[in-house]
Amino acid sequence: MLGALVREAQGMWALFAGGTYAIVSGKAQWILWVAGGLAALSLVRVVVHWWRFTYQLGTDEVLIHSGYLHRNHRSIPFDRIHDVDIRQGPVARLLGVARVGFETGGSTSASQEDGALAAVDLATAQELRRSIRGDRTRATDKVAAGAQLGDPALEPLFAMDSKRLLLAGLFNFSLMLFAGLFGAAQSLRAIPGADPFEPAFWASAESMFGPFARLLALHRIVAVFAALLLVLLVGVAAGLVRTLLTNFQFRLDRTSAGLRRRRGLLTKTDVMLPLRRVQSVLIETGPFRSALGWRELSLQSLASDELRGAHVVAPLANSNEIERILHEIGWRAPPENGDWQRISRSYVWMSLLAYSPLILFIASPLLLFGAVAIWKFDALASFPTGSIRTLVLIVMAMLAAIGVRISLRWLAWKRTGYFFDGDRVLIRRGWWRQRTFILPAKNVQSLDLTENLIDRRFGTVSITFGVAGASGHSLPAVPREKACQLRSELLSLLASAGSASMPR
Amino acid sequence: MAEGVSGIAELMPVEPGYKHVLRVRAAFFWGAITAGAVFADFTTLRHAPFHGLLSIAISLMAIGILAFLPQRQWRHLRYGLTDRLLQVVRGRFFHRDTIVPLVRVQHLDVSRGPVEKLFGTATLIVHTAGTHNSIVTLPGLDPTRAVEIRDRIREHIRSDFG
Repeated sequence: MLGALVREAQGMWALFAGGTYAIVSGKAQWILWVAGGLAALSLVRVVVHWWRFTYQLGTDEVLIHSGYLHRNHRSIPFDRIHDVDIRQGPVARLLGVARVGFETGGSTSASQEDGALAAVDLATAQELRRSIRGDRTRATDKVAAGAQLGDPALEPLFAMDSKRLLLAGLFNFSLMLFAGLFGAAQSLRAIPGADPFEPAFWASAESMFGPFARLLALHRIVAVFAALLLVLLVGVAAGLVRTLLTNFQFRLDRTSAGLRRRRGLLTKTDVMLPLRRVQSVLIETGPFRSALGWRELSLQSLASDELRGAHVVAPLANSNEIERILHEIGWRAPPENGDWQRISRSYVWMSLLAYSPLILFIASPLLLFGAVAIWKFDALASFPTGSIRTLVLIVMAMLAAIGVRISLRWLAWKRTGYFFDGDRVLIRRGWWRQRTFILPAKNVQSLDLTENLIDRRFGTVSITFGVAGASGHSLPAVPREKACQLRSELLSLLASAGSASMPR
Repeated sequence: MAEGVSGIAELMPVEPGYKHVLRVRAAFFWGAITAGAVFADFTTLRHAPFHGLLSIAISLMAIGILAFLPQRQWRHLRYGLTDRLLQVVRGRFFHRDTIVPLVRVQHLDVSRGPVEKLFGTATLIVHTAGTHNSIVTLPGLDPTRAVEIRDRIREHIRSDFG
């Protein structure tokens, strides 16, 4: 119940913010009444919710009864529960309770779990899981109870020491965050002295850093570099903190039915992953990580992880460790050098084509100027020189941005491809996010070939593989004949495999 | 499973009545757009120099689309069914070629809306477990044919678990 209260309080942050604003603006009394009323109301709501919320462990199902006016009785058969995850936030840890979530893969929205018990004490949570998992693995009754949850005495399948954690944090520096910080720095412009891209900011820092800051204040270009460095540092720090929070004490164990993952600094999570639900494997890396031989391994299954679709089972691992984990769960690692098929070069041209209106738009004033210059050179003098310079600068910046986009696309093109490896397809995509999917043919639910007008000009199609509970299995700009060949190979495999594995 | 390795079905067109279904649906859509344009012309654009132009342009466009688009859409919608897959091919500008292996089908619907009833067609809806494209629709079928296809696919689902 306390857990629910905490959650309710978290939901009221917006209200608190609004209230603070009202107090500042002098309408405090009025808003305090409203806030008090709402708080009382939500307190009542939480109490009623707690009062009417019961769960029951049947012989082969979990029953959850909830609701006061609108009574809801939910039954979740053990057979359909994919994951039982135990999650403890900071407050829950203080109180010794945990949230138990049941994932059936049937939820309509990815964010919403199918059934969850907000706060049960930790021992009960473990007991709940044991009985549910135990029922699931009744067929292998001989397996000791220890193996079910992973024997703590055994070596973990994969674990992260503090050094590895730190390294992972350094790589966790996200471009998106970088852009956000950059934007924030830009919007600070409105406040005098708060924009690190202006010498004035560094002038105010002079008292702290002395002559160095004076140097910055004098030279704008140095100020810009210093600002970039600052943003970079903040970005790296944020990445470190984020990694520390989620992946602290990361530990992966082999259990009788699958894998068990424990991690987290403030919020501790404990997730069981049944292996027969895994639909495909995703190995992700980036330009820096791949140069140093680091990869991230995730399993895509019907159930989804807390934030992302796939369950990360190794945030930062070398190829040996990845091979070991994959071997342990019965998957083959992607071969070193297979017969990788490249996609068509038109992938790059297509993006150039997509930018062509923009390029034309940018180029038109230049052409105009050129025409005026040829036709009547004197006329140019009547334009104010400042505006011409600004225009040329803007045009150059935009062209440079397009150039960067196209080169990134080219890099991505170089890495994108697929490889038909016996009974599975390997898909490789991207340059910044280098992702490799391992997709067994038996897990392909449907196949889509799409082409638009531009595709048709180049004779290419995009392939999208329908995979249960996972997305991202698509290939752009595959030459038509190759795509049809891949499709028929997959289909013949599907026919021979027959009904092999329907995800359940 | 006597299919060749290529295994792609022979493609068939859907019922001609589907053209009318498409036309009626397009008429509803473009009727609403035209009404909006006329309304705008009589209110906000009343004093604009190009008053009336919008209504004429939009209604001409709507007539053109209603006259030619349904045929095109119908012509480019084709489907194929073999004993192991269902193929739905649609569109020319935005071409999409979907294949669903019959063993992958989770459940099936045959649906008929009022307009479809009027012109004697039905839509077959195939649900797979996939996240992308988990619902594949095949419109414009003769109702008996739709039921027949549904039953054929259902055979596969049954033999799969039996």
